[in-house]
Amino acid sequence: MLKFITRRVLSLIPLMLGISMLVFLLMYLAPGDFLSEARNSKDISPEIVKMEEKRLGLDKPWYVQYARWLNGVSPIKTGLLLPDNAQERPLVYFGPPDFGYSWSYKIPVLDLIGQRLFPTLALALASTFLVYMVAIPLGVVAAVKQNSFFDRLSAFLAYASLSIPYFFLALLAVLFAATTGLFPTGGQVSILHDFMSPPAQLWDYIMHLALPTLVLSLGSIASMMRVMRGNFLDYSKLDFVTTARAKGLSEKSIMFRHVLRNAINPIITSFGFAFAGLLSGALLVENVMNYPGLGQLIYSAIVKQDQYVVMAGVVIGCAMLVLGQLIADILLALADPRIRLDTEKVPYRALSIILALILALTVLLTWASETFPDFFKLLKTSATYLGAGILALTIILLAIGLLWAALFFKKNLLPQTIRNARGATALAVLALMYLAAILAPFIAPYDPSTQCLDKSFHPPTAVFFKDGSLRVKVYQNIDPSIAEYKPVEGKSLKLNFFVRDHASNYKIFGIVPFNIRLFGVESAEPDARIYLLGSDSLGRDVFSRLLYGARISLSIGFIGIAITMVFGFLVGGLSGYFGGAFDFVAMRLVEFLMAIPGLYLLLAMRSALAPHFDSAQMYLMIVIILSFLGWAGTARVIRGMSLSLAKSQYVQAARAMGENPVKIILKHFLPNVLSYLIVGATLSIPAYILGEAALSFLGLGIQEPSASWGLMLAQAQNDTKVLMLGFWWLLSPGVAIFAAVLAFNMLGDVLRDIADPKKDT
Amino acid sequence: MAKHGIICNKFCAAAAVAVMSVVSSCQKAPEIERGEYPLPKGVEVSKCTPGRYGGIFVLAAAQEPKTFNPLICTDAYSSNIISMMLSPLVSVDPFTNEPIPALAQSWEIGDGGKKYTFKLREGAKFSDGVEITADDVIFTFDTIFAPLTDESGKTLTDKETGKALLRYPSRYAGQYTIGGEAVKYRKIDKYTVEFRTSKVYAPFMVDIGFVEILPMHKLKKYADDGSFQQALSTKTAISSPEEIVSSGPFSLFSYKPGERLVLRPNPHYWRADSRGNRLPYIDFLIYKFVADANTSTILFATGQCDASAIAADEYAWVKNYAQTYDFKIYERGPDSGIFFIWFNQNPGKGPDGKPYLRPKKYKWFANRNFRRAVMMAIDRGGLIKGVWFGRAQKLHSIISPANKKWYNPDVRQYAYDPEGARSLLLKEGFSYDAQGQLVDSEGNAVEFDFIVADGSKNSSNMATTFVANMKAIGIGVKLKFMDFGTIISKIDNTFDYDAAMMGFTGGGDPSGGKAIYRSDGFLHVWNPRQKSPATAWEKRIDEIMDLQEIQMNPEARKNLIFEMQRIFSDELPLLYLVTPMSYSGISNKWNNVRVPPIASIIWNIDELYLKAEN
Repeated sequence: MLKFITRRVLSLIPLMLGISMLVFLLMYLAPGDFLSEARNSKDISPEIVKMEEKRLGLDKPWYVQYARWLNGVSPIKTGLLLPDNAQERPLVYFGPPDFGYSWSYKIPVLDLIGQRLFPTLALALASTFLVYMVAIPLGVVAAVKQNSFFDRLSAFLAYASLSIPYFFLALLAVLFAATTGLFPTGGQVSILHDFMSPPAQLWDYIMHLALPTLVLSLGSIASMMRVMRGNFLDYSKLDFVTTARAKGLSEKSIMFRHVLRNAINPIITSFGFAFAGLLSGALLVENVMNYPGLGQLIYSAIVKQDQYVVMAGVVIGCAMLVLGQLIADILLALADPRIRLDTEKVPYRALSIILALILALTVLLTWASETFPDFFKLLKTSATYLGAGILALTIILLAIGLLWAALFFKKNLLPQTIRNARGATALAVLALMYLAAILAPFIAPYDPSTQCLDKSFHPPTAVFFKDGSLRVKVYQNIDPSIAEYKPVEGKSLKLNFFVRDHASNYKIFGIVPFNIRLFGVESAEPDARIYLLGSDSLGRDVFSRLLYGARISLSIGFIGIAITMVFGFLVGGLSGYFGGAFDFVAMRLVEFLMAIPGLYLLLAMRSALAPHFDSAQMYLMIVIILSFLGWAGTARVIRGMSLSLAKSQYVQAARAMGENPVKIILKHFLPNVLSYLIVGATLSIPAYILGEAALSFLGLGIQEPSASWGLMLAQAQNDTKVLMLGFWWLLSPGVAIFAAVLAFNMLGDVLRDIADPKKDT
Repeated sequence: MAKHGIICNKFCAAAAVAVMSVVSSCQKAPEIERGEYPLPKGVEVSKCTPGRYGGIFVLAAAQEPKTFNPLICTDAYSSNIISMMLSPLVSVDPFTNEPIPALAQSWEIGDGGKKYTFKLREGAKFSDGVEITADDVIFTFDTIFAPLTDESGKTLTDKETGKALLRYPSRYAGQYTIGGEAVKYRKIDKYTVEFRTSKVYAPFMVDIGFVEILPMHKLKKYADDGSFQQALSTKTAISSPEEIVSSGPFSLFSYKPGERLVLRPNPHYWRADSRGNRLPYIDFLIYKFVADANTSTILFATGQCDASAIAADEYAWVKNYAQTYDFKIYERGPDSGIFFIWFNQNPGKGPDGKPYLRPKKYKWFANRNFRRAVMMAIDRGGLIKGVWFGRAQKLHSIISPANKKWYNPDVRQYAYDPEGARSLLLKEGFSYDAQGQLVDSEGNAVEFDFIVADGSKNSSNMATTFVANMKAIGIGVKLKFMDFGTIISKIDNTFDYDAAMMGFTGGGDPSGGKAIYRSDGFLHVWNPRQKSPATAWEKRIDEIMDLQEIQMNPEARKNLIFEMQRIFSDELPLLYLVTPMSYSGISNKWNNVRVPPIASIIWNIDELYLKAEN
């Protein structure tokens, strides 16, 4: 056990080194710095800013700053790398880890983290507790009563709760708390907490924890429940259950003493990941619900570029992940006597290789940024533009071809899916959505950026049938001070189909010029409008924006998943095939990527890479960032599969006959893992759609004047008026996200059942 | 099943007990000890209606204090809280904009406006009972001007500028350096200090109110050993709040980062009511930290905090709750800040020898009539109607109409007139091609990038409307959202941008805007830090700014500022947008609320008291 723990802790060192350097570099590459605000302040003179720069060490090159930070954190320090104003120290000396000062709070980072650690841990533990307490029993009941009404209902509810964007739920919770007064609207304790009796204080804590916990847990409960149900069903079909039944054991005893104990193992393992993921997940919830935890602290530190707080946050995030995995492994060993932890040796050699690699990379980067002053600028531009262009193009083509082939030729997936009621529904919904997105310029009555400032927050216009044609009611703004509209009695406009719109000439598929709209109102007035789904704050048509937004929101998932799957397959497949050094390096890279708290990296990458982009480039950027984080998981699974495939006789035979490895991978590996790829792809697309929404929510997604569902939803919820004055139609992008994600989840589920009938989840 | 029921009942019982105890603890307002300290000899007696003690006043704050040290504080949130705890020598009456006594009971101006003698309040004390004397004032200014020295005691100077470096650089050193010379100060007696300026400086009485007087007995040791900037940190506030002594109405009770900051009355405060009761009346002033601005408005609207500023576009719904939660919203006229779009007019070259701005673009942007045409094409009326529901005004001058004392209503105004804009452009040699795109006399299509800080829905609305308006007169605008830091580095350092949008906070004396108005100012955004004024009108502005500083006649000074505004609106380096109305709400349970035109609605928080319950 001790050896095992040592190994884990040792493996933390290169991980931390790599991640801290990556984050440090990203922060350095992000334009502006902590003093940006001071620079633009009317009453702070540039001289003060310059002095502050010097005091904070911001005038030094990045590697000096990083080395200083590292020196401070490490228990073994050197006197060579101290800040300018520090007292003299010997060449080598020992000292407690020093994470530096928070620039904005002007207190040591560790103190700051210490203040926030308790609330976040309380939230993390409470929601983990809630998830396990609710998900395991529900999953078991659903499995025991398979195909019952309860099973179906719980499945539907699980999908539904997985399809709601986190932050949207959090916002609804805040509104619920504010309007009903049943729960506090934020904070860790109430204002009068200090004056309360101890039991009241405890209750106060619990009340404040309740809503954030619920919001944070809902998604996890849903997914954990489905996993539990699946495991339980798998195990209840195994031989030992049959044996037990044959022996005449009671059903209760079989289920709870044998099946449950086995089925719960993977759930225990997932505890580690769940625990680590909570820090990322808590970020959005803590911010929206104003819960003063680490997530809120680190998010605002990233925004303000309070460097050392971010660094400490990242270190803590990694530590939590490794700690979580450690706990999971130990728990597993305790729960399952077959598993022994001490079998693997401490890989000193591997560790030293990785350390050497990191060191070499650092030296290289240092050298490059010293020799070529514009090195990073060049790197950024070339990496983003070239990478984005080539990658996206080739991979889209490749992946679309693959998916196409898969859907039509592999195991008759498509017909089988259509025969399944749920599958057919999901497929139909998705087909409709994608069709609408492709034909957006034709279906949408207006351009997405056409404004009508006289008609802001216009409600949806009523359409009725009269005198042989469809007519649209005309509205009047009766109270502009609250944007209240009333239909004008007896006034309406004729709705025409296939109208020519001279103002716009878009191109269908970007080639054929076209200026006919599916429908439009007939009126001499240029400002006469039909608003099927109302208008937004600038009088733009929500329906049109929704259609144009679909092009972005729905394609981000496809392109992202294509990149993820191709990369995951290539890296995973090659690792499994070659094994050895390639496998080792690739898998360490995968672990590295999986160890970074995703949302924080996303934030850092977005601010480092994207400031100079307009909305179209931003779109590519987001796809690339999202898939950069996403391929690691796929690669890991594919590697496992191909590892066993590589040992199979036909692959061995092909190898012996001197077949070229690329051909082996394409001809033998690909068909075998294809169904996994398809199912995985379908089930991962929702993550991209939700990821786009989350980025928009943090203000880092698609930007005006483009439209995306995430941006539209973020705008609606950023504007308190929308909810408080009841402009409910602006929440329609939320409904669209929900529907698309739900459809993808259902489709993925059906595909999985078809592709892998024995895994009945 | 039975088992379930028992658990549930137990739980419910526990919950019920807990709820009961919460309710009971809420009803009992916490008692506070005000102490029986005699009023100082120099006490100021407030003219307010005498009230009664008690009550908790809750405010929502978007950001936490970064420090409690007024000299190193650089943000509005910290200085707001510090101003509740430390008093300056004088402050400004928000109704008249004239200086009123604070720690200084009276003052005299002599030597033709170059000598100021302040008489401190006799017997006024810091919250720990130590008397406030001239030594504290001298200590405060000594700390501001303390030079940075090396080991031998030699003053260090900046290598580039040759100026002496300061040990504790703060904005105040620059503020109290008048005509290139630091203000001179000396102690006359225990309660008298004298300031001398090298030349006449009109805004001195306003400026002297900016700095709070520091408690020497607490801070001397830090100022001496070099750790002054770490003194009065948030860490001190968290672990030992009593160490942060105060001279203002409140002193620190507790600070929980991320949660709240609690202030209690300063038992030695220098103001009392006509009945001889020491102010303030409020028992606790609590700042609750909410990161999200939406949440803080919701908190106020649902009666969970006592006062709040309300954005013009939120007013429409917040007022619906006024009855239910018993608060009142005051309309306070236009906002004191200005909001504008501007074009980069920097003619300089970058380190690589390339001009910051493509020559063709420089030609457009430096053309006054081009800027005027763009201005005329911006549909500000539409923005006001659509985005603010009518609760905003068009902005015409570089000083907001809210700043009544200095605002010049008679400047050139630009009505929305896209047709006029088109013909003005045609007159300037621009023309339109077949697609309706504007081209300049050399055949270049007129297109530019427009950078806007992300994060605010209103600036996003304004920016997208601007893009649509420009499209209408044939100008292609590419909108680029960036984080604030990037924009700053572009407009302040790399100058590689075409047009941008930004706002400045305003109010107060126009000399506070020097950095914007003067051609050598660092916030002269369209072409900052000029060695010598690039244009004749910029030269005239510089002259005006010099003249108004030494002009002691208020009317003549006002005329100068009026002229400056006229020039800015004529030349239009900044294309003014709109200024929203500002609203402030306050709970009806407080008496003595007096709402000034610009300042915070709780500027007289020490006078507010709880209405008697019926």
